[in-house]
Amino acid sequence: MDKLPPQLKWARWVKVLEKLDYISDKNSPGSARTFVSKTREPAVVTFHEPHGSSPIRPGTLREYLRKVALTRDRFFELLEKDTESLIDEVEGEEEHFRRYVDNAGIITSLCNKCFATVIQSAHEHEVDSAESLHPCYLPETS
Amino acid sequence: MKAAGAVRRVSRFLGIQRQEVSSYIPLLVRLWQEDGVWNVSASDLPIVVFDEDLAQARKYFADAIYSHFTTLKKLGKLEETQDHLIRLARENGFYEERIQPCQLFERINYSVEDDSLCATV
Repeated sequence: MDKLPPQLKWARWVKVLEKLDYISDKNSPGSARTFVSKTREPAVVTFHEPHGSSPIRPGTLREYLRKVALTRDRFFELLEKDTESLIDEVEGEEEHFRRYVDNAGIITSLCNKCFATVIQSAHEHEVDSAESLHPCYLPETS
Repeated sequence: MKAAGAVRRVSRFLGIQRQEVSSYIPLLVRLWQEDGVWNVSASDLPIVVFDEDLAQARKYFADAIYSHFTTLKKLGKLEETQDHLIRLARENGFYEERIQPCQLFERINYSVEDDSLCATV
């Protein structure tokens, strides 16, 4: 049996839920996120969206899979099909910055040096542009 | 404790007065620490939260219950879920006295070998 990933980003879990036909209920309070499916049982599931970059650990993920009646094999299928490119392409190319993608597809770029938020945008080219102009890494001019 | 606020919120939302003790909906909850976080999972509902801090995880769980029940109410499924939970609680013996709110239970396995007792903690 495949091992569960040691860390899973919340956005990737949400993508898996969406592939299972779950839609986020926008009125969830605080960090609780309730999802509804018209075709699947259980029809209503609720999880906690971790703050910042805190990932979902294997022990928690195992429980998540149990709650949505999802086998590991099916989970890995869904994980690979649609989400890998979405998250992994955005993340990790440039070590000066850290990028996160939320449920709505908004990319948040954080500077690894000054820890400031560089930009929040749905468009990757805008994020690229903002990062290239970020003062922490601009070449010094004499 | 902050969770009490959430309990009051749930009560208000469900239209339950504080003195109507018999109207409560019992939920059996599993709490365990794994991979550096506390997980809180409802035994009979698909609700799971986690945090590095247990008190915070419990607070998140109260929020999650509120969110879950709000959605169930919107979908017209609250009553059926409530009946289901009360039935399960009665079957499993924690509706009345055996388990009080916010008590923590843990399973410890005992084994008997060569007339000696061993407890695995």
